[in-house]
Amino acid sequence: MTEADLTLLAERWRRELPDTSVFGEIRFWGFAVVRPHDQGWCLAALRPDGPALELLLRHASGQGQPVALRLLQPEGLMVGPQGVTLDHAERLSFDGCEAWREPDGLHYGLRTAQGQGGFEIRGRPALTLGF
Amino acid sequence: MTPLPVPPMNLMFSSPLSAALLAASALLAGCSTFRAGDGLPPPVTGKAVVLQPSDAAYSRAVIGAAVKPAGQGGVVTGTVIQLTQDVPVYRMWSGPTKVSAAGLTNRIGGWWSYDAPKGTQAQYREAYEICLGWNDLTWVAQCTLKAGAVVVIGPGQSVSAETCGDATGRETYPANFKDWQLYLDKPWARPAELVCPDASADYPADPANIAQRKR
Repeated sequence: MTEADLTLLAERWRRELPDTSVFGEIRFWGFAVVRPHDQGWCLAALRPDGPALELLLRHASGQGQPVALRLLQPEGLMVGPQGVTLDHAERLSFDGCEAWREPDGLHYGLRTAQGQGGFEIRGRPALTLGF
Repeated sequence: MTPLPVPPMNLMFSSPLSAALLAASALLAGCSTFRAGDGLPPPVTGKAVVLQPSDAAYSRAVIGAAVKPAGQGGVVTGTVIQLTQDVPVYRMWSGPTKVSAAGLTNRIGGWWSYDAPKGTQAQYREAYEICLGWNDLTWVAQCTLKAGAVVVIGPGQSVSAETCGDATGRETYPANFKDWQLYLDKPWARPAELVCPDASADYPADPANIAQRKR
């Protein structure tokens, strides 16, 4: 995926997603990066960064600093009534958690403060940002 | 909207199936404090009314954010209520020194309980299905949910090891039909509905007895 592809993806994301959207759920495949709907985030910025797309998420209260959610080789953007999904990404990271697609394409690896491991992808999108 | 101290089953639950599920599970769990059909749980009995989807305020609860499938946390089934009196609510959080990458604590969030924390920290984590990575559960905050607030209450949904990110499969939490959860959508935007004292009023909990301050 070229930088031009990432720029197009970012433009499409901005065009299809209302600025007022608040995400209460962040999932890397089946892993809930945060407790679902305990906190909320708004998209403060979206920009290509080399082979990655970087989303800057700001807490919905407007307090604190934006935090980068980084997506390496993202593809397959879907915006729907339940939120945003990206079908594919090679690697994702947010707030100390990191996940990556394993070479077999069937599993993903995961690293958190609690440890490292892996799970089956089972057809789920790499990223889910749920409203 | 009509005050219903003991609402009929069809107002309490989204479907007869969920009511039956709750009743069966409460029996299996040996729950003695609250049974399906008793009306609202004791801490909010007489202090809230049940809203129906046709009520104007119902949508403020955002029940779709609270009710989740098995393995994903949230609540199994939700009842939308509007408080008619102030009610104390409780939340365990990670304390003032634990800040996220955004530089924020997790003192205020969507998930609360109307029962005061009790037992051990581990028991609380199990009862409210809170993954280790989500919350340290080291401090207790008590706030006031004001009359007029619209929230979702319901039995906590199960949480899978994958949702928690535990590849060993050990960290899982079953659904809990005894200790109900309370969901307040986007609490940071609802200062008239959730009123909290300064964080200095919170206490660090003793892990062996979270009802008490840590010494």
